[in-house]
Amino acid sequence: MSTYIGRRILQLVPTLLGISVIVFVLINLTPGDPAVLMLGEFATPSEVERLRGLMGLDDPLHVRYFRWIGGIVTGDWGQSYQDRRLVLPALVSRMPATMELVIASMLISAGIGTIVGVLSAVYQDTWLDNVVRAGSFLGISMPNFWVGIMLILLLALHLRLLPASGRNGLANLVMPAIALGTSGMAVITRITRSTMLEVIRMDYIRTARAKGLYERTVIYKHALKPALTSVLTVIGLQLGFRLGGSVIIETVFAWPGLGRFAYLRMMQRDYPMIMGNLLIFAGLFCLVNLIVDLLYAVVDPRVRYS
Amino acid sequence: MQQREENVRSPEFRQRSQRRFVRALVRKRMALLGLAIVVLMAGMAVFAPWLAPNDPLEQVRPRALESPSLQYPLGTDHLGRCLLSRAMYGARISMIVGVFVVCFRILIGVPAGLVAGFYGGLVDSVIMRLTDMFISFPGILLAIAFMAIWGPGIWNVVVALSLVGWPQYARLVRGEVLSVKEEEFVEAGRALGLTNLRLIWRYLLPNVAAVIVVYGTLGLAAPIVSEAALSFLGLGTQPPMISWGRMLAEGRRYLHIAPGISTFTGLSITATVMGFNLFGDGLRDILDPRQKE
Amino acid sequence: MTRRRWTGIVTIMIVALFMFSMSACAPPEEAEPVDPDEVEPDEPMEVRVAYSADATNLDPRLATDVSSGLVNDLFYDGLIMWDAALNIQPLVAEDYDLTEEAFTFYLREGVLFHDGEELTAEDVKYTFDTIRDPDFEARNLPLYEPIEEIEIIDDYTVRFHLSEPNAPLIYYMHVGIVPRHIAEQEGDEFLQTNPIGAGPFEFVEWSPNDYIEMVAHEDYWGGAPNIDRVVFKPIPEDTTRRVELETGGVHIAFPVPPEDVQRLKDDPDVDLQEQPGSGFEYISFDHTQPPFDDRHVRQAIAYAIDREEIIDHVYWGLRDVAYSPIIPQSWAHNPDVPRFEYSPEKAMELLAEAGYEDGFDVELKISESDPRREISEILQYELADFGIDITIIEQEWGAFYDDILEMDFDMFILGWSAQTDPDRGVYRQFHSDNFPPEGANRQRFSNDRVDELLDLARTTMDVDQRQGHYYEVQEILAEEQSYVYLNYTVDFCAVSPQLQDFEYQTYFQLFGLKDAYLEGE
Repeated sequence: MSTYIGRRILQLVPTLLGISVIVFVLINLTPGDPAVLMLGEFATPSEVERLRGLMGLDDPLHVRYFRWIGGIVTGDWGQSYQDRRLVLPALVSRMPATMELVIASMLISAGIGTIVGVLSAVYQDTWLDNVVRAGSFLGISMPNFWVGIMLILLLALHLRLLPASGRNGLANLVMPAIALGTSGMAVITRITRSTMLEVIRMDYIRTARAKGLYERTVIYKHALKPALTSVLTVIGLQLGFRLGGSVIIETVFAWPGLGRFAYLRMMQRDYPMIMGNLLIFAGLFCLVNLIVDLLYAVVDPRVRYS
Repeated sequence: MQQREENVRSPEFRQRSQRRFVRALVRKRMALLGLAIVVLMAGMAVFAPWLAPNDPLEQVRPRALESPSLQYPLGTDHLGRCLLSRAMYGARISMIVGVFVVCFRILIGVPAGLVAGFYGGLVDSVIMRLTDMFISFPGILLAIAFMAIWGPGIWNVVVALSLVGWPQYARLVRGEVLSVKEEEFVEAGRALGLTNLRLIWRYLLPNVAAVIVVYGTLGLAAPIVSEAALSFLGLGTQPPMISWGRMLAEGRRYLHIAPGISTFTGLSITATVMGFNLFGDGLRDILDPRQKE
Repeated sequence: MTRRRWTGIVTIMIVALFMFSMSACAPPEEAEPVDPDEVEPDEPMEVRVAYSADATNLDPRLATDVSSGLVNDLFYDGLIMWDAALNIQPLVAEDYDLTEEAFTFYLREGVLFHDGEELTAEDVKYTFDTIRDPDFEARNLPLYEPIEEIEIIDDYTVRFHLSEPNAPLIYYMHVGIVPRHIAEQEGDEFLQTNPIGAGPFEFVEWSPNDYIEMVAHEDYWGGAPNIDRVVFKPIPEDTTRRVELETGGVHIAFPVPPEDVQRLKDDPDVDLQEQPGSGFEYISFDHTQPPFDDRHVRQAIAYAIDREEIIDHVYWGLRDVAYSPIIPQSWAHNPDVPRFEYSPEKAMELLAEAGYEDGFDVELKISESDPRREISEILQYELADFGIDITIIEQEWGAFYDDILEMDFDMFILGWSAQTDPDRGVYRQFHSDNFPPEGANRQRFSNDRVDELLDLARTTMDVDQRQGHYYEVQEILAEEQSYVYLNYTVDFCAVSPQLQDFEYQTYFQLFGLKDAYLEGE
């Protein structure tokens, strides 16, 4: 197992390097002179020239890439063009907000999704089941940012129950977490339901039933466990998607995390921040996928040898 | 597996399977519902000039932010334009973006997947590493970055979304090719001395076609949502082009005064996405039973 | 599924969760500001302020954005300040003496920095010398170029020798004075995040994008403020700022968007304060290319759009139509210039005269903003009647600004704000020496008489003479329609009625907090 983990981590290195090349080239081909942007409207051409020199902007692209990637490895991720803050601490300080949001949305969607999915399977083909199935289809189809806007309309503007944006406490977390988690919740509901149904049809459940065990015992003790396994896998897979969703949800709710930060800095053309931000996202994404893959390896040892 | 072989060889079988397909589809009520929504939305998009009750661009500013009425069935926006007419024209952009993006994704992804799966070895690893890199970003973040660089505009949206989405198709097709490649009829083709290109074209492509159709249909929903998201952020289309995402963004300023703008626009997106999802799910169940959930 | 495998999955999930929550907990959460309900009568008086964006730099020599500026106003006192009508008021300097050769400031005695050290002429000289040092990279450096040398006469007298007469320079003397001993001990970067000044409030803590906390400066030369503590919270969303105020989460919320004004005016629990703004909004043109190289076309555009109606729709009727680049509250504002009021007939005539009876195609660039998007959509729609086909290009600020500087536009909409002395805006926008990137004459307007008048107005110290020069400049600019002026801005600030004796100001927005107090908590 440990050699497998080691191999997987080693495989990450070229991927991340490739990503760093894409990120760097992408950002540095952006039109617009960072020196002009940094100095603002009072800048004179001579000042711009001087700053270009200081920032090393006149060096060829590959020289600048190696300087940048060298900095990344040694922990010097550069300095913002906008407010001159250091990139790495700025990104690290925004990580908790995003993690909080992603984890909260995961907990909400996993919790509600599993319960509703189980109920839906147990009461298969009743009105409850139908409502749940229709609801989960709706959940998958609603754009998350629209869910966010509708929540703001209902809970913040009309009922005034929750703050519309910002991050000042638990109340702020509720709406963005729901908005980010809705589609995931719907997927989890469907997976739970279908796995439960499959399991319920299996022999050992029939045996358990035949043994005269209570229906509830059968369902919770024997059918729920295997269903949860596949739910766990799906949750892992969704973590990555949620990171992507956080970009727009954080923008809608002015949530001070990495996603909104990335968007704002892109708008401001703060190249060092954007590059760092994209790299962090890619890194987190890879980490999540690695964990999911390891999960698979635990479930199915054959994976390790393929 | 016998079926696959037959599928390639006989046109009669194709006809028969088409009839079988239609019957299967009719039996799937939800898929039919999806198809109905899709047809409705597509019809609205195509026939918007004839169906729309008003000129979607006409500004009757004294009547801004009105509630629904006979003249304006969904009310008006902040510049006194008919919301229903705008929603109908908005469907055009969504459909165009959805269809073009999926086509481009297929045009890039399918050949990449075919080549990677067929040749294997170094070509395969290079293409797969490339898809790894693209998949290692949240797609929307990369699309935002592209749009920030290129500036807004519908074709920029199409290209950006195509670029971030092709690897999924490449991986899917590669997987299919790997499972088909070793089959007898491919071996037979090879024995007949067919060139690699012909082998791919004659034997591999038709066998992955079903999967491409299913995932192409299911995949129509995602770019529609992404375009709406980009336009919502102000990075998508530009006025006077009407996009649902832009309408949502414009409506936000008036959310507490005229909530209808955001509500109706969001419902349009949701309905369209749901249509493609329902229809795509049905298609998948019929054409690609192995992939059921 | 075996039990062992099951355990493995759970373990990995827990480890993953743990890793995420570790990063989630990395910097310990700060204590929340005290809830208003929990405040006992003898508890400290705390005022919470919601503003739209976090400060970026707490060193007044470097900060150029509005948010940093208004926070720094409370940390640092400058030599002088000015009121809404732009009259200079003494601050650290109790008196001053302005001549063509030199500005002399007489400082108050006993002005103490937050660390207890006295503010002297040394600190004043140091503050402005660092700004003038190119290595310090202060963005406003060019404003101070007329200063030749700063001379310390004695501890409380400092003289700025000028290389040439410069009347507007007095309006750049408001920069907060920084303590030389701190800056030299701790390094110049220190103040950017640890402000120490001689202002009415002392810095406590800055948690970026979260809050800035400050407490009363007990030894403030003007008397200790009544308020014990002020907390600034950046809340970018208009709706949230409003709800925070309505629910008592904050005492001051601004800016207030026009669509919220009526609702807040009607609310008895909100004191909505209104002040004339410091700027205006305008349409600019590329004067070097057809069709806008022709004055008649620019005049036609002015006639073709109903600016009153645009204000009604986009700004809910809350602004006034603009017709000159100098704001109405300034002594230099000329109210008697041609106003080009809405007249489609005249527009048509002028276009025909210029040879554009069939219209033309142009690009209109805007940066992201709800009101400007709406204005440009109205323009696009209305000007279509004249055969003018407008392509709207909405860009993010960086790209927009680049294009403006590089003259890649036919028309653009932009605002000009923080106008003080007329020279600051008008010289930079209309003098032909001020083409980008150095200047803000982005439309490449060039008029010899305007250049001459602007130079004269800059180097004349006499206000009446200067007024005459600016009056003539405004007449020429109106006739030329160098810009089509849209409206003068208005500022709204929502205040809780609990907060007494507080008046929001156009400039030094929240400086009034030093005299305010909270009632009934």
